[in-house]
Order: sequence, then structure tokens, then C-alpha cells
Amino acid sequence: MIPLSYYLAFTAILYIVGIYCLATKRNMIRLVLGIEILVNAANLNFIILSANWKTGFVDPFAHSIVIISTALAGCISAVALTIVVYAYRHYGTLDARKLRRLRG
Amino acid sequence: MFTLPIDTLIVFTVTTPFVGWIERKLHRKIISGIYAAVGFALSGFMLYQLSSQALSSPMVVPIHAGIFEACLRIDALSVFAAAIFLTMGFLVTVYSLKYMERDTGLSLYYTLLLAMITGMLGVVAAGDFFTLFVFWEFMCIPSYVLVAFRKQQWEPVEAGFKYLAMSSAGSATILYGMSILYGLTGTLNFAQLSVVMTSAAANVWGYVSLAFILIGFGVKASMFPLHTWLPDAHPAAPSSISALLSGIVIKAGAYGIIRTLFMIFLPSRFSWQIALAVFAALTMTYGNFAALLQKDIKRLLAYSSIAQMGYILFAISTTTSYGLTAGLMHTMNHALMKGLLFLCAGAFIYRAGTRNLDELKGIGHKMPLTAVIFTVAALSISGVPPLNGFVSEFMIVYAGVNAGMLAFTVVMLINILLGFAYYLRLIKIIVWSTPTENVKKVKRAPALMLLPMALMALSCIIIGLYPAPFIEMASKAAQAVI
Amino acid sequence: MLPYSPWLAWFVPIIGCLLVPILAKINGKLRDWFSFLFVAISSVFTFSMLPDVFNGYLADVQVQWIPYFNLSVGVLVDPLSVFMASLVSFIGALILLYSIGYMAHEEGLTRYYFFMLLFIGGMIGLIMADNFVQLYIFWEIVGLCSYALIGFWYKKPEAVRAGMKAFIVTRVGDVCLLLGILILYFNTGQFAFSSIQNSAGFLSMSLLTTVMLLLFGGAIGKSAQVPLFVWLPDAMEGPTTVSALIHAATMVKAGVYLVARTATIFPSLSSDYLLVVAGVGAVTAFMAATMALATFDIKRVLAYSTISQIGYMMFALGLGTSGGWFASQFHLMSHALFKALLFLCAGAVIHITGTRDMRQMGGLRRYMPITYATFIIGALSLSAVPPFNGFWSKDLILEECFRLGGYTGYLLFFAGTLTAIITIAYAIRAVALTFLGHESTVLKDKKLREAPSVMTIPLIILASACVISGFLQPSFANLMSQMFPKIADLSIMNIEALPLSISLLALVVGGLPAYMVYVKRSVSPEALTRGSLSRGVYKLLVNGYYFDSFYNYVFVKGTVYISNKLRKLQTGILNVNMLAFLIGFLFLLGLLFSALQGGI
Repeated sequence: MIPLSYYLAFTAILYIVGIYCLATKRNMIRLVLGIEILVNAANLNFIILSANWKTGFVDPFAHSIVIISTALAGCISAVALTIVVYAYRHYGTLDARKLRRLRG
Repeated sequence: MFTLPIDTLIVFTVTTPFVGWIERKLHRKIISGIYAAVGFALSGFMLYQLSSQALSSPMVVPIHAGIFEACLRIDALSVFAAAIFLTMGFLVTVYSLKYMERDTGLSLYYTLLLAMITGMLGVVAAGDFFTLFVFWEFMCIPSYVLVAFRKQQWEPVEAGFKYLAMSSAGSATILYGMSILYGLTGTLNFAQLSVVMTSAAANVWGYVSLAFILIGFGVKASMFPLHTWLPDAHPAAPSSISALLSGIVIKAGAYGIIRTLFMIFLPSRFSWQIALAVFAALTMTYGNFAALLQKDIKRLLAYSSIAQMGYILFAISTTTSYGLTAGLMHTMNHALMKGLLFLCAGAFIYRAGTRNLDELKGIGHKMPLTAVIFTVAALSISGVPPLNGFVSEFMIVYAGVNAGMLAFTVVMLINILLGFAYYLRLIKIIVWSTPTENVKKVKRAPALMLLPMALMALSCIIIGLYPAPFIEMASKAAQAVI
Repeated sequence: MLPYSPWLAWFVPIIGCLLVPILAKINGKLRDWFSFLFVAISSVFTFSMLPDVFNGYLADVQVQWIPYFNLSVGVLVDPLSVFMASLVSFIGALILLYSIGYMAHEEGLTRYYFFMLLFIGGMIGLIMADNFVQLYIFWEIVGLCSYALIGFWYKKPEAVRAGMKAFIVTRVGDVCLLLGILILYFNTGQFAFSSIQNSAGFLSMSLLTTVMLLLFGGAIGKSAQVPLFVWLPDAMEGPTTVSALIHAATMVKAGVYLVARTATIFPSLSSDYLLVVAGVGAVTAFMAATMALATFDIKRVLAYSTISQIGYMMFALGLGTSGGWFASQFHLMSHALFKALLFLCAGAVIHITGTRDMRQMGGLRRYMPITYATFIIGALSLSAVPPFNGFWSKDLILEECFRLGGYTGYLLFFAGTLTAIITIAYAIRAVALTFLGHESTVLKDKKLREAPSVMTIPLIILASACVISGFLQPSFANLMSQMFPKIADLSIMNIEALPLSISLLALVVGGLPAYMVYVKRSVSPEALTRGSLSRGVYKLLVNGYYFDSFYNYVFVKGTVYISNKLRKLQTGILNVNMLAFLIGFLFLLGLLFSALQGGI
């Protein structure tokens, strides 16, 4: 059996990947995907921990949470991509580093 | 389904687009606004009827959805926060009737506003963590769209994108923290969580989930390194929405922090006090320093909101009943004062068409009533008696002394001085200058905008002169959590 | 005592201030005279309390306000509060009467009377307060009115800046005061003076010293002592009536009132605290007097003079004896009278000549005889020349220093005498530059005449008060002896020879050179600053011992520097923002783990 800590380490790394993506990537769509990665890291964590209680028993509570959470992540992505479209119309580029007019 | 106040608002949220269709047929822009205001008033009335029961003991409303056991838990803190949110929502809706008349797509604006406040009511009424998270997203997503509402301009779009990215990262962080909590205890119900987390020994994973949840809510509550969305989002949104963002949305973040930190991660078990106090001190100092020399009136007010959230976080970090009461009082007062300041700024922008302080010099002479109201709000937020800001800042400083956190209290006092300096500068520019050419042709603010502003200014004065009943309410709200 | 007079004394002006905008809509003159009427009514109430208090009446009435903090609104009727309230309302009424003429052609008078009435109400409320929070609230309200009135002529940027500077500098003191009040509340559970007096015995000496030093910090700010005095000279940008009322006779005395009040609450004062009070007072008195010698603006001379005289009151309180306490209150009364007189005379001069610079004046005694005579009376009172009131009160202070003896007493006596030498010097200088000699070229084109009678009548009233009030000392001592019984033994007849002769010698030592330089013009003033040492001293004095430059450099420029650096954190790049998110997260984890390990 793969010990729990490996799975938890995996989701932690996934979370860090999400943050890395948000902190490094220039393309706005990649940034939206970074948000998705973050949410999925949390969802995966729920699933993993739902199987942790007793061998062979999976808590359906966590699964229902994950389903609703996925739906919400979808809403966020929809809104985010809409804003990206408008940003492209205004700035002519998908480079998030060009969105620098507001500072100080 | 849920409780009546939330249900009313949901009904109104869903039906407002249809009212918007009717309004387009009749060519009257104001109908959906009035409809939204009626919605807020009705919901407020329902809340009032609920409050007498909920204030004495927490009211638990189960939400049955198969095996999915969620519940709403309405206690004194929920009622207190919900009252603030609904009042601000109502006043801003009345203000928007006139302010937003030059925009298009207004029925969607009101729908989003209703949805945002519905989400906030759900957040404060939530009895388990996942309900809170669902309503949290219900609140956040309309706020993203509202910031980027004027999508024909570049500024709201840029600010909206950055806001969305950071706030969603925050929400995902909350979700991750929730998952760890779930892994530790197997439940997400607040009451059960508080029992389990206090009886078990404090372990590392508890602290890890605390960190995730605090950061997640801290993004919304504009804690120091996580605040970077705020100075862009609050100026870019329409002024009525800025008033709501600064007034109540960031307070929802503070609510989340209060609810989780005091119910789940009890101060007696988890020592987060100094950590939160350090962040609070950093937040207030950064906010006040950065606001000093701003040229844009709304950006200055946005940085000031960051600083004021620092005060509230400091009050929370004292972990005493005094501190929490002081923090809740300041939540209410700041919602009123900062909301009022943003509404006044909106009036100036509506008439003068600019946000730049160099061009707004002396506008107070042309808009005298607005200038008086603005001065009342600015003096109040600087902590000048006998206005309400003084009462809550006094209480927070006392809570700091009471908890023995003298170093942090001195930092807070220095920050009050700093905040005072730039508000005096604002008053000087708006009121005590001679009008520039730009300003000479502005007219007075319209009555429909002045009405909610005057009501808020009056309440600032009344709360300042007679704060006892409000302090009682805040104290009851604090007792519900501690 | 008229019924409810302790409440109505401050309530009536505040109601009046709320009515001012309404009255202004009806008629301008109505508003002016009604404002005066409101303050006159208030002074009727305060004076009605005097006879009762003379006969030993004491009262402390409270109305509950915030039960959460055990906080009530109350009034304390005792000799100290009634004395100061009567003084404030009397001088306030006179100055409002003077304002009717002085401010007649100004615009924005509604704002002026609103804030003047709010100020007088707030000041009397501060004095009559019976608990620290009420005192603090009125303290801030009075500061607000001062800010609004200094910046009255908002079209002048210097006035607006002076108002802001006043509010911010005094707020530094206010913050110390607030901290002191809250620490006191935390340790005693009480805000009310009488309750604290009862439980004061349980406080440790170090705690008491800390609290009292913090309270004194507030007094330093409001009363413009070193190092927070920089706002008062700039506050002269406001109208002269404002300077006379707020910055000479009343608001700046609030700090002295606070120190005197705390002396009655805490029976045993720590010697460290007394040392600080005395030191600050003495240093301020000397430094301000020297600064008055170097300035050419007539109102600035009076401002520095006020700072110096309040320094006298402070170090009298710092003696720690009941005699010193009484002497400071007596000097407070004398100073209020003669300084208001001097300011109102200066106002008449400014009104007629249109300038504040003494170098552009001169020879006015021919055209403004009444103003000249009353100004001389005021200047002689200031210099402590017998038989005017300043002499009796300042001499009493110096005598108390001498009587205390010891290191502190003699040092303070020496400082006080040195300051007195300089005081008479700058007083003679002011009189000579303004009224004596010949008119300057600037004045030759102006129509010089005496000020209108609505302005000269208050001058005459105040001048007579200056002459008489010194001799009221025995009845005043009788009044105050209820606060400290030993005061009844003091009498102006018990003058000791040695301090008296040294004081009179000081008058000659200071007065004679000033007379030679400024009146006889046998040595020209410019010649005094020819040597490099004296030029260096002169530069030091003109720049106010460089306090202003220091504050400007450290606080203003420093804050601007930090602000600009911090603003750079907001780069506008989303990636940097998320990086900050990560750093914040790691920082929080670090703090939490160190709390878990060993506790921070």
C-alpha cells in the first residue's frame, strides 16, 4: 500500500505547482489554468483523505464536496476567460506582464 | 430552503434579469434598481424578524440534501454582520439609482449586486465550512464581474483580472485548508469541528490548515503581502461598488477569519495571536504609508481600507472579548465611514469627471453639502470625537492595552496619527482650496445620491454620540463566538 | 448657583453653535450678536457657580453613557473647574464682542462663529469634565476647532498649512494622553476623577510615573511646550481674535489645567515626574523668551511669549508644593488677562496698519493713544512690573521656588529670573518698535487713526482687570484653599525680601539694555548682531533653535521617503503579487511554527 504521506505530498506539490504557475507564467490563459490547478489540488486532497478513514470505505461526503467544487471552479474559469478576452481586446496581447498600467 | 432573508434575496436575484427585460420594454432605467432596493428592504425585514430569536441562542437550520449534511447556523455574530451588509447594500442601491444612470446593462448590475450580497449573507449564516465555501464563491464571482463592470475601459479589465487571479488563489487555498481539516477530523460542521479540534492535542497539521485558511481569508481581508489586488480593484470599480467592496466584502474576509480562528482554532489551543498581530501591524503600517501621497482619490481611500483592516485584524489578534467587540464595532463603523467616503468620491467623480486630486481641488465649494458630509466622514475615520470612528479606535486601543500587547498598541497609535495626516490633506484639497478651472462648472450632487450619503453621515454622528446600544450588539456578537 | 449651571455652561454654547447656520440665513448681524449672547449667557452660568464654590460647595453629577466601559458623562464642580470655566467664558464673551467689530468685513463668518462657539463650549466642557474620557473627547473637539479657525482664511496656503500643522502636532500629544488614560483605566477600572482618587493608593510608583508622564505628554502638545511647541508660532496665521482666545487665553491653558487636575487626583506625585515637568517648563520658558527677542512679527512675539509664560506655570506645578500649585493658577489667571489684552491690542494695530511686521510700524502712539496705553499696561504686566497683576503672580512663583530651596528650587529660581530678564527685554522691544519712534515709510500712506470703540472697550476692560486682579489674590487663595489647605497661608503681604529684590534687579538688568537699544536708540539693534558669535546666536533664535527644521527633515521628509519606497512594492505585475502571496504564506508558516515550538 502506498502510504498516505506520499499522496499528501503529491497534492502539496500540485498546490506548489499551481502557485508557481501563477507566479511565473506570462500568458493569461496559463494563469487561469494555474488557478484551476490550485483548485484541483484541493479537490484531490479531499478525495485522498476521504479514502483514509477505514480500508475499503470511502466517505461520500468528500466526493459531493469535490463535485460542487469542480462546478464552482468551472464558473470561475468562465468568468476569468471572459475577462481575458476583454483584456486581449484592450491590450492586444495575452502577456500578463503588459498589464502594468496600474501601479504605485 | 435556506432561511427567509437569504431566500428572499435569491428570489430577487433570479428575477431581476426579467425585470430588466420589462425595463427595456418600458425604457425606464430605474425599475430594476427600485426592485433591488425593495429586495434588500424585504430581506432586512425578514432578518429583523429572525434576529430576536437568533440573538439569544444560535439558530441551526439544517439543509437536507440526501446524505450531504449541511446546516446554517445563525447566531448573534451572523445577525450583526448580516445587518451591516444589508444596510450597506440598500443604501448603495439607492445611490446607484442615480450614479449608474449613464451606464448600460443596469439590470445585470443589480442582479450581480443582489447576488453578491446574497453570497455574503450566506457566508455569515453558514454553519459548516462547505456551505461557507459555496456561499463564499457565490459572493466572489459577482464581485469579480462587478469590478470589471465597465468593460469598455482598460482599467476595470486589468484590475478585474488581477483581482480574480488573486482572490481565486485565495479561495483555492481556503479549500485546501478545509481539506486538511476534513482529513484531521472527518467533519466540516463548525460545532463539531470546534469540539474535536479543542479536545485533540495541537499538532502540526492543525497549524498547517490554520495557515492555509488564514492566508485564504487573508487575501480577501487584505492582509499585508496578500493585499496587492486591492489598490487596483477598488478604484477601478464603479464608486458604488467600491463602497461595497471596501465596506463589506473585505469584512467578509475578516468574518471568515473570526469564525474559523475563534470557533475551530481556539486561542487556548493554537497560538496564532502574535502571528496575526504581526501581520496586522504590517498591514496597517503599509496601508497608511502608501496612502500618504496618492494622487487618485479612490486609490488613497483603497490604501486607507488596507490600513483599517489592519486595525480590525489587530483587534481580533487580542483574542479577548474586548478585542473582538472592538473589532466588530470597527467593522460596522468602517463600513459606514469608508462606504460614505467612497460615495462622496463617487459624487465628485460623477460631477467633475475626474479622479485626480490635482484636478478636484476646491470642489467642496461647488458641492457644499457633499463637502460637509465628506468632512464628517474623513474626521470620523481619523478618530476625532464625537464621531463613531473615535469610539471604535478608542476601543481597539483599549483592547490592545488590556491584552498587554503594548508594543503593537503603540504601533497602532502611530498609525492613527499617519492616517490622520492624509485625511487632513484630503480635506484640505477638497474643501480648503480655491476651485480650479476644471471644477468651476460642477453642479451640486443629485438628491438621490445625497439621500443615502446624508443618512450615513447622520448615523456616523449618532453612533458617535450614543454608541451604547451598538456596543451592546457588538458585544453580544462577540460573546457568541468566544 | 442657577439650576443645572454646570451642564448649561457648556451646553449653551454648543447649542448656539448648532443654531449659527440657521441664524446666519436670517441675518448676518443677528448671528454675530447672538453668538456673543450665547457666550454671555454661559458666563452668567459659570459665574453663578462661583459664590457656591467659595462656600465650600462640591459636586460630581453623572449621567450614564456607555455601560460597557463603566463610562458616564459628568460634571465636577470644584474651585479649580469653576475658576477656569469662569475665566474662559468671561474672556470668550469679551473676545466675541471684539470680533463683531474686528471681523465685520470678512466672508465665511458663519464658519467662524460656528467654530468659536463650539470651541468655547468644548473648552468649558473639558474644564467641567469629571472623567478622563470626557476630558479627552473635549480635548480633541477643542483641537478640531483650533484647526478650523487657524485655517479660517483658507485662501492663504500658509494658513491652511498652519492649521494642519497645529492639529497634527497636538495630536501627537493627544495620542500620549490617550495611552495614559487607557493604561490608567486598565489598572484602576475607572475613568472618573473621584474614583481614581480613591483607588490611587494602590498604584505602584513606577506605574504612576509612567501614566503621569504620558498625561503630561498630552499637556506638552496642547500647551505648546518643548518639544511640541512648533505649531503655536505658525498658528498666528489665524485671525487675531482666534489667537487671543484660543492660543493665549484658553486652549493652551488646557495642558496646565490637566497637570493641575492630576495633581489634585494623585496625592503623592513621584519625584521623577515632577522633575520632568519642572525641567520642561523651565527650558521652555527660557527658550521661548529668547526666540521672542529675535522675531519681527508682532503676533509671533506674543506667541513665543505665551509659550514662555506657560513654561512658568508648568515649572511652578513641577515644584510639587501646594504653594507652587496655587502660584501657577494665579499666574494662569493673570496671563489670560494680560495676554488677551496684548493680542487684542495687536489686533487693533494690525487692523489699522494692515501689516504684522513690526519693522513696518512705529510712532503709532500718536495715532492710537488708547491702544498704546493698554498695550503698555499689558507689556508691564507681562514683564512683571509692580503693581500690575503679572508682578504679583510671577513673583509668587519665584518665591515658591526660593522657598522650596534645595537644588531644584534654586535652579528653577535662577531659570525663572533669567527668563524674566529676557521677558522685559522683548516686551520693551515690542512696545518700542510698534509705538515709539517715527512711522516707517510704509505707513506714511495709510490713514492712521484709533480703532473703533467696539474694539477699544474690551481693551479698557481687560486693562483694568490687569491692574485689579493682582490684588484679588487673598480671596483667590481663599477659594483655592479648599483644594489644598496650606494655600490659605499664602499672601502677597508675606513677601520675602531676597527673592523680591532679585526680581526687581532682574527687571533693571533686562530693562535697561532694552531701553538703551530700542527706545533711546543709542546702540542700534543691528550693531548687536555684528559679531560672529552674536550672529550665530541670532540665527539660532530666528530659526527657532532648529526644531522646525529637525521635524521637517526627520518626520516630513522621512515619512515621504518611506512612503515612496513602500509604494514601489505595488508593482502592478500579477506574477510579483503572487510571489508576495507565497512569501506571505511562508512567513506566516514560520511565525506559526515558532509559536508551536517555543512560543513567541
